[in-house]
Amino acid sequence: MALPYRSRFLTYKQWQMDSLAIGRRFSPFIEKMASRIAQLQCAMLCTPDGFNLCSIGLNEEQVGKMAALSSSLFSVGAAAVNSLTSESAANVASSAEGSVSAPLNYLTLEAGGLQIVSTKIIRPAGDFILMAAARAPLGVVLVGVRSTVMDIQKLL
Amino acid sequence: MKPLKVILGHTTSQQVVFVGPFGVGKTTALRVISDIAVVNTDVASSEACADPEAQRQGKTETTAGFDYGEWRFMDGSRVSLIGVPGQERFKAMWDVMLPRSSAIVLWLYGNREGQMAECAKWLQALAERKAIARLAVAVTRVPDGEAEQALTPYRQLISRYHPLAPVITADPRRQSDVIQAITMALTSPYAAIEQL
Repeated sequence: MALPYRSRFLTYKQWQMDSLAIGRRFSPFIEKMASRIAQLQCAMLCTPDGFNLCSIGLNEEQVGKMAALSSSLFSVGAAAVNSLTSESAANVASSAEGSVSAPLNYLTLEAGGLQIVSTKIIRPAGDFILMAAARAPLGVVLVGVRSTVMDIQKLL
Repeated sequence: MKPLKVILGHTTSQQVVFVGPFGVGKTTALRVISDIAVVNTDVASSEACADPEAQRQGKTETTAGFDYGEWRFMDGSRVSLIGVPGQERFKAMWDVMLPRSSAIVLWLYGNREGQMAECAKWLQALAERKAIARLAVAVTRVPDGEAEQALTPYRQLISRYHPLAPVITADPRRQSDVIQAITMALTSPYAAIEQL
């Protein structure tokens, strides 16, 4: 049964407190990213609906917008992948290879040497989005992100 | 190397989403009120070239992703403000942004043909996304002195979706009007779930 709307709205402030507790729990992993990726500019762990849990390298003014952007970018990227894979799956349904609809694993952006990598961490109590931005080769950022995901998953 | 600053938890206490038709003034309203630099996803608008009203207003850009700003209440608490594109082809952004909101401001034209049908379309879109329980409606471009008369049909229509939603006239260029719309949205009574 769906929650009444009142409960959903009242939980916004409750969620603010929860996000603080969850952020504190995972902050060692996010802070460790700075040693994994020497040129790390910023990193963020947030929810898929745009709440910051823990971030490094951002100021108070940037946190809200980066959480909104990171979650939305990943969501739109997943929708694009889903649209492509489900349509191509329908088109090649009879093909032996047959396209399989797969979730978005990584989203990467590049701008003037700045690499931004986002990924989703699946967990039963609600997924997380992990985003990292660094002036480093894409491979370095990807490895740093993957290692952090593995660390976090050990705790889940 | 200077250590990177750590921020734990979310920094805003509420989230208000601005919705409404293309060109009504959602981005303008958000920029008028935001305390931080607004996230800009505007691009050159192709359809503005074909819209006489948009041309008359000098509108050349449209939002392709979403606008994001923040505004601080007198008590210091911060509200995040999100503006979504008005065109139906960007429904994916509505699906992402509307369910996460704590209140909605629906911006509407008060001076063009088909305005009530447009209002009904938006109310339906909000209801489908379970985002109508906390709502304020801001009607723009209403001639001076005609507010009450102009708002009556809106109130009748909106009451079918949310019997207690405030309906006001507002100019998205005026900070006080935008603040009023946001405040009314956040403090409006919840619609009963069975109404939705």
